[in-house]
Amino acid sequence: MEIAAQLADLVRASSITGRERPVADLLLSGWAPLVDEARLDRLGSYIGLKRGGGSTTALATLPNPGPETSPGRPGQRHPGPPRVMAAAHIDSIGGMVTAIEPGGFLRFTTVGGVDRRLLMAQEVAVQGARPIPGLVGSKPPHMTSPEERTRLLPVDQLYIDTGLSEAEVRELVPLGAPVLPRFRFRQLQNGRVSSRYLDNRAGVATLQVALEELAQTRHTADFYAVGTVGEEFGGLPGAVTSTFAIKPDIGIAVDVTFAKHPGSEEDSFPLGEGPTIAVGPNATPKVTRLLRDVAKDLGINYALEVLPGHSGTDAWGMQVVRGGVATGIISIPLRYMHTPVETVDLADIKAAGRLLANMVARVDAAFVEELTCY
Amino acid sequence: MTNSLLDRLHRLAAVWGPPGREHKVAEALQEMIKPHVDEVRTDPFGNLIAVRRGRPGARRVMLAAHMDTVGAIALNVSDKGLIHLGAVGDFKAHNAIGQRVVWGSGAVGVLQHEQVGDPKEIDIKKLWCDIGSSSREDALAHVRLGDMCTLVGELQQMGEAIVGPGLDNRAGCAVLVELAEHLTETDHEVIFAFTSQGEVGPRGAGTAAFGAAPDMAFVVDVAAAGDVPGRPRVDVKLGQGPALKLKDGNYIAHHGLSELVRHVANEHQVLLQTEIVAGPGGHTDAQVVSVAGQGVATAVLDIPARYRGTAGEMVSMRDLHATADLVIKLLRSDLSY
Repeated sequence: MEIAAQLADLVRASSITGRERPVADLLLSGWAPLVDEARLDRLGSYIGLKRGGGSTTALATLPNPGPETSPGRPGQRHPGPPRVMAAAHIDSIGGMVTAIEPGGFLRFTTVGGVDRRLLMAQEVAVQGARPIPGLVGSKPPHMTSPEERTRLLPVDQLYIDTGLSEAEVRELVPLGAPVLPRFRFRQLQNGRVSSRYLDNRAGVATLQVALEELAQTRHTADFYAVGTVGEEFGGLPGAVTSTFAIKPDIGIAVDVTFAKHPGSEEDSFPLGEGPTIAVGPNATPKVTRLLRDVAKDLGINYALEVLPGHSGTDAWGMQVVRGGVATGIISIPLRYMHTPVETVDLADIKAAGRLLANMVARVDAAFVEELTCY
Repeated sequence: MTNSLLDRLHRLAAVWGPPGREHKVAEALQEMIKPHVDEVRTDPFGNLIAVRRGRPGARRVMLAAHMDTVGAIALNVSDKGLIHLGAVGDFKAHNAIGQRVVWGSGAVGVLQHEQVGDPKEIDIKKLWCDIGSSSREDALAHVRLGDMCTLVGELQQMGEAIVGPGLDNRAGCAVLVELAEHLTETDHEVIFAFTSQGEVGPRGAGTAAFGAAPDMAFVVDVAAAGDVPGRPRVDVKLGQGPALKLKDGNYIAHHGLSELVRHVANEHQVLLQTEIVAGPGGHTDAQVVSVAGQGVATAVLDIPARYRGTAGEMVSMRDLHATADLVIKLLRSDLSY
């Protein structure tokens, strides 16, 4: 399938933090031809296994069915071929219905880092018993005082109007129902696309490109493509628990980063000139080196992204699971993060996917052995 | 003394047990739950773990309730023998003024605050505990630095409502013992985890869940009800049954398990409310249980409470019974979601 169409399917699926199943289901069906085995874990993360050449690893042996009786020495490796895990979070920011007001108006709260400045007059979809279109209402300027016009309303004073009567709303919308920005996938010029939720469906699409590439590429490492839950809310639950189950030698987080536009900060990257490769405490130098070498050999443009501390990605959680995991971070530059008009360049996703696949192909037992040597 | 839920609640609420010092609570709970389980132990962190074995191949379910209550710790003693305090957990000075406390040593004291004109100036730094000593030496003979105190008082009943200190979360602990007694049939292995340091983290629930590695968990705690002035957006009322928590500032519920809870409550006509805490606040054992090991599907059932953290915490016996009833119904289902 063409990458724009894949991405459109991914952002059409509803998936706010805690309610990621629609995207996970999409991966279960869509990636079935690309992986040897797949399942959802207890928290709802998607785990797909593409075995290396000659590998007999089975997903069924991954989870530990009972208590951890033998945690092993710190740093002790699993038997079998090297394991490379790539994590792209499948959740996104949004809202949650908190109350139904007289007249059928819905009160809501935000989930994840929603930009409050953009809420008024936003078109939304409420995931009730069926998807219900709605909009965030607001007082007309004629009725607001000059002071009110300069002030941002707290979220608990905003409401959603669906047009439904109160009785209908009570029938169709349970408390806790997700609220999403309206779906609209726009193809801009020059291979650029704009939509809700490109953070982080761009990363998910990158994993798909990598899986397609690996279908044509010899590799000895087992590759785990993971769609993690819960990244946008804090605590990185999906990254931590899936890494615990997989016990990877190398964990790569694939996420989005800030792209340049007028007014953007210095730490942002050009759109359409390739992904970024992170350097900093959250990225293991030997993994960063390997990614850079692979990019150079394939002629893939990239920017080096310096991250002094918490990378803001799943890699932060993955790095300290069990006895520690060697990590790397690949990011797709994205404009207007956490708005309904997030914008990426499709060429960056393709390049990042190729980079990831060819990096996986380079990982062998000797490389993994090297990771524990200074 | 009978073993009714109310009696157990009276006994448990009277036990001193601030964060990290829950051993007396664990002792009381161990004695209560022993007849109803196959195995009882404490783990290295201080959690009390009681296991009721299930049939092979059935689900392994953890039920968790934190044992600790908020308290205050002795930081320093003045020359006059007054003890200066630090908060352990969300211990609020304005809830403490004029209240009585008991220390781990058994000493009893009263809390008082410097005179201030503006209530905003109330601060734990201006609060002291008076145990009746007249010198630093005498006070230190009864309360050592690092000893902790908790609010103390008798539980009182007003119809269905119970009022007193310590109901957060001895109410949850009492519910777990109650359902252990009445859980006559279940195929599932049930791991009762009475957890340590729920008010300063939460912490113990995470190690308990890692050690037990259950398939799923239900956390029983108390939560602030919204039927008092100043909390208009919290739609949880006293006496209307447990509240299924869907979100707070640090936790988002497992959707599949939440739907199962709603389904079972609906099927058996057990009262159930929905709790959503907007904004950044809130904490629950579930936030550490759910990410333990390879992950645990977790749901939170909160007993609604008014005036949490005061010596007049208020819960409804109706809600305690409904919570026990709902968990029993869940454990008798096949627990598939």
